[in-house]
Amino acid sequence: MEIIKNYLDTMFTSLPDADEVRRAKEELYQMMEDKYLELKSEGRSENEAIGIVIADFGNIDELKEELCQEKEPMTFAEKETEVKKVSLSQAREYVESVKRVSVFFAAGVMLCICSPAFLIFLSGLSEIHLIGENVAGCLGLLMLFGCIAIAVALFLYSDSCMSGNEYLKEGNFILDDGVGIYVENEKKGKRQLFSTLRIAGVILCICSVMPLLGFSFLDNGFISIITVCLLLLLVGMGAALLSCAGKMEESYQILMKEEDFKRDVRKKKKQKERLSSVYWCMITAVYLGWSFWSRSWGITWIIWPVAGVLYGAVSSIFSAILRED
Amino acid sequence: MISSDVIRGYNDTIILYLVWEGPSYGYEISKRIKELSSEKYIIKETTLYSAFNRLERNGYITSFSGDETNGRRRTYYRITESGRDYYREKCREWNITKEVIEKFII
Repeated sequence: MEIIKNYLDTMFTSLPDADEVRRAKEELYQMMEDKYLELKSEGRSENEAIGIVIADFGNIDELKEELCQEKEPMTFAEKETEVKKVSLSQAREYVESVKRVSVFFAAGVMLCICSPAFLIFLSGLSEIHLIGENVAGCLGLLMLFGCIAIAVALFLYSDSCMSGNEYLKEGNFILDDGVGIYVENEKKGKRQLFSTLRIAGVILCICSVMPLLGFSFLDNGFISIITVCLLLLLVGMGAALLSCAGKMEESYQILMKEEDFKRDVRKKKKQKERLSSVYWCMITAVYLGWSFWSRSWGITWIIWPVAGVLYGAVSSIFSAILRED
Repeated sequence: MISSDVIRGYNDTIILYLVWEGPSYGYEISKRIKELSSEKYIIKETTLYSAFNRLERNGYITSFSGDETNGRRRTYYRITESGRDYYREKCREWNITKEVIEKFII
């Protein structure tokens, strides 16, 4: 036993005299003693038993690493630039919460797009003199702003659900061992789902004009208004599906730090986000201004599809300019 | 014998498995690892203690001093609720890892 004690003493000379170290030494001694006594009781010789115990001791550096990492307080600068480690459960939680939130977000998108539908529908009713024009305008606007208010609430709510995860979007993290494999695997498994959602979304958007075109031969004002409402509804559903798929896939891309989420690309993306918010605010202002001024709410909705297509062009030009810089 | 490098990421899982049913102490755990692995894996003492320390620091196990036996007090380790959660998480992770690695093994 004396030999084991001496051996431990020698091993621990390079470690500081701290509570944890003393505890570690005691604990190790306990284990070695247990092992030694059992080996002896099995009939091994003294030398043999000690030889095995010492051979199984391991590496003192491993212990030093473990004990000293909590001893050294982090300096301020280290804390500042600290990259977070993302564990498996954190990654799963993130993906799960994005999944939850993307439904709210998609509902918000759909409400925004469908918000003028009531107004258009009611103005159609007033055109065939079922209700008064003023009632139609009032109720319709009420519904429009109601929808937008709910949509904004949904956006804010989904934003608040994701707070605390900003560092992921900023790319300021590394994945724990094995987490990358998990995320990649999950993403692969979901690929089918994402592309199905996307295809369905695109089909809905394309098909949205079909009722409008199909019934145009009737040349009936009310029916064409119904088809416009239908168009908005279908586009709304399509956009909701697209945004749902996009959000969920994005969560995997963020974790894997794919193309769009590498540090340098992110800067450009931020500028693009700014462009998009300015653009859509302006479009909304024009829409409301034009509609109130002309009082022809039945026509002004045309701004939305036009703006949607135009946005594609504007954003491509914008990225071309950014690239030149 | 298994190289300790390969198994490193799963020492915690092994230990949590062994304290799952009830508290245990250092030597008993190391002995059971040896037995259950048919002596293919013999955990080093320093590795074992480092793992105890790490697990306790993360709140996955707690330690307490056991009753005196043969004039000696042993430190026992008991699994916590979050330790159980962590263990389940590691099992899921292992299943994926295993599945992936197996794709590259002849």
